[in-house]
Amino acid sequence: MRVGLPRALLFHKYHTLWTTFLEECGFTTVVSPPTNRRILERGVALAVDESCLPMKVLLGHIDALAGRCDAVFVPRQEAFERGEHLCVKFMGAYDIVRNTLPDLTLVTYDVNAEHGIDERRSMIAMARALGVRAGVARRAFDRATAAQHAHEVELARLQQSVAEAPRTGDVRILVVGHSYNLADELIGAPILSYLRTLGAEVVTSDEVDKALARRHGAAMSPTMKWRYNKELLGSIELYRDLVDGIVFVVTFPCGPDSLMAELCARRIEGIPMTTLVLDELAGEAGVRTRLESFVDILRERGRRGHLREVGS
Amino acid sequence: MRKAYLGVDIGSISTKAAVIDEAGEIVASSYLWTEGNPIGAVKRVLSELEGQLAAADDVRVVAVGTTGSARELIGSVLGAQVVKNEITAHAMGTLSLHPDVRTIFEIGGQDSKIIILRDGVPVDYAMNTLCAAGTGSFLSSQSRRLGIPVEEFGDYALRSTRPTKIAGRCTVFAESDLVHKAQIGYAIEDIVAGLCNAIVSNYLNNVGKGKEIEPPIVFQGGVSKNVGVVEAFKRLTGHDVLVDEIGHLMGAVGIALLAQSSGAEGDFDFAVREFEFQTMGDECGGCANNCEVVYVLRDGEFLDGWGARCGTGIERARVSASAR
Repeated sequence: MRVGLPRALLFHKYHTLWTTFLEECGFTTVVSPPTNRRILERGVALAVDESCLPMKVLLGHIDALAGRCDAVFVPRQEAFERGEHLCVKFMGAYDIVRNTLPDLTLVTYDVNAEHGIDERRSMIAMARALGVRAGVARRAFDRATAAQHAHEVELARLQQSVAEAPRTGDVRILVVGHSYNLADELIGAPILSYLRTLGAEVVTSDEVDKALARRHGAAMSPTMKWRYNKELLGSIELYRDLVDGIVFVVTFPCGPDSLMAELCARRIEGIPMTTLVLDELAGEAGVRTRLESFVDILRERGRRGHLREVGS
Repeated sequence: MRKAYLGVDIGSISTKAAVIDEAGEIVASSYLWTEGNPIGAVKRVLSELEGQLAAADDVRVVAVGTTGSARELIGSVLGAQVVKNEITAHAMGTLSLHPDVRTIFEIGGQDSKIIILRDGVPVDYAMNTLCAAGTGSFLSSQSRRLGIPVEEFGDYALRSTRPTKIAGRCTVFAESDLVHKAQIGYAIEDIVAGLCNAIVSNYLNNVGKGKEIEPPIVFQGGVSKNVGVVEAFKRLTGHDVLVDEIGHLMGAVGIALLAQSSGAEGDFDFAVREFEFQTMGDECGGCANNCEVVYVLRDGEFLDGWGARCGTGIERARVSASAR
């Protein structure tokens, strides 16, 4: 059986966990190609207008998988820990896909700590329902979580070493955004590569020790209930003294992100910040103007010794 | 023979140009509407400048800078040494006139920005996001609705004694508010003054949010010609707000200064306007992204291209241009 994984939303975070698990269970995995214009256009056509950009991207990827696999994998994730939430799109993804493309065969698992549904039991149950023996599924889960953990540790280590290393460029910028935005070929990748073209060093918020980041994030805002925004807040706490400026990459109309950017604008002083709000219509020209002038400003500050001194 | 530097600021609505000498003094300038044709606008600007320079001493343009939304296109057309965003250019230009400026407000045709400077260095900025509410085009559409020429808008506002409250957050709400206030009998002066207040509070609550707005404050862009908005800024910030007669040239002067300080020089000839420039758009078709590639031809020869996410698109444009 070939299981299709859309290269969207949490795939960018959990691809190691998911592909390892499915392959250890004996399935063949098929991943949709990096986002391109056609995928986005299909997603926009399939989604209701009010959907956020990442949800449109997800639907485009699901559509790209149709006919290339026997079932498409769309988990339903609500809460990993009690008293904590994920954005509703992770809760709703499975049902939205099921109702948008009713002919497609889907496989899914639930995570909802509020109701005692944990990831381990849920993923193993999903495999069992697909005919995988219990022992095989359990071993697959153990291997997959170990691989995921190793992957995250490695990413965090790499990032930390970049952030702490002596500078190679004259400005270093922390780009804050969800991995499904920053790692997306069409949404975040052009921003990161343009910043590098401008000569800036780039540190991204999604590659960080997650548990540590969540603890720091909770310190910054005890009431921030979205898990991934807590991680982003924590990454700012962890890296703010190692960078010269912060760029927020927000997709329209993301509630949690706009709340977070607003919170940071009010609570963080002494470091220049700018927010890019992207939608499916966003032209690259406006984004470039903003990034170029932002880098110019950081450079001027640095040149005149203003680095992280002037509260603005 | 004096060296001079040409700066061109090509916005969506207007095109501004300035030639400065080595001391930074403006020796020629031009300001006209872009009218959706940046290349045509630049040709007209060049002929105006050449006319003004003919009367001046023997000056020779040795470097060119371009800024504004058509900066890349015009940069290629003019063979510019420096192509820079308008925020940096405006900051540099304004500093040449007001070395002690700490805040620049700018409201243009479609966007608005704020630049914060400290000790002659831009340290922070913001631009309006997706929406153009509260910019020049919003003002001119409201003035049409009220039947007042946009040039007289400010005078109407100044005559008001009791400005009414108008929602400035969104063009749609502002418009229905406006109609409602007119229908219940508010004087047109009070409505116009309310609109000017709405623009300013919208600006201060959006692009100006969280910024330390300190004097000296300089206000630029087309909307700065509206005395009603200037007065509203003064009242709501509690500071004096400076508007220069040549405020519209600050981007052009700034980019000319940046061209000068770059040290790069080239052969610039006003005869560049004799060339036939043609812009073409094409869908690349090389992959699923199907990038829209725009390129410019000079007398039928490929000059430059933009818009492709990879090198293939530009290469295809070059090939299809030479096959024409």
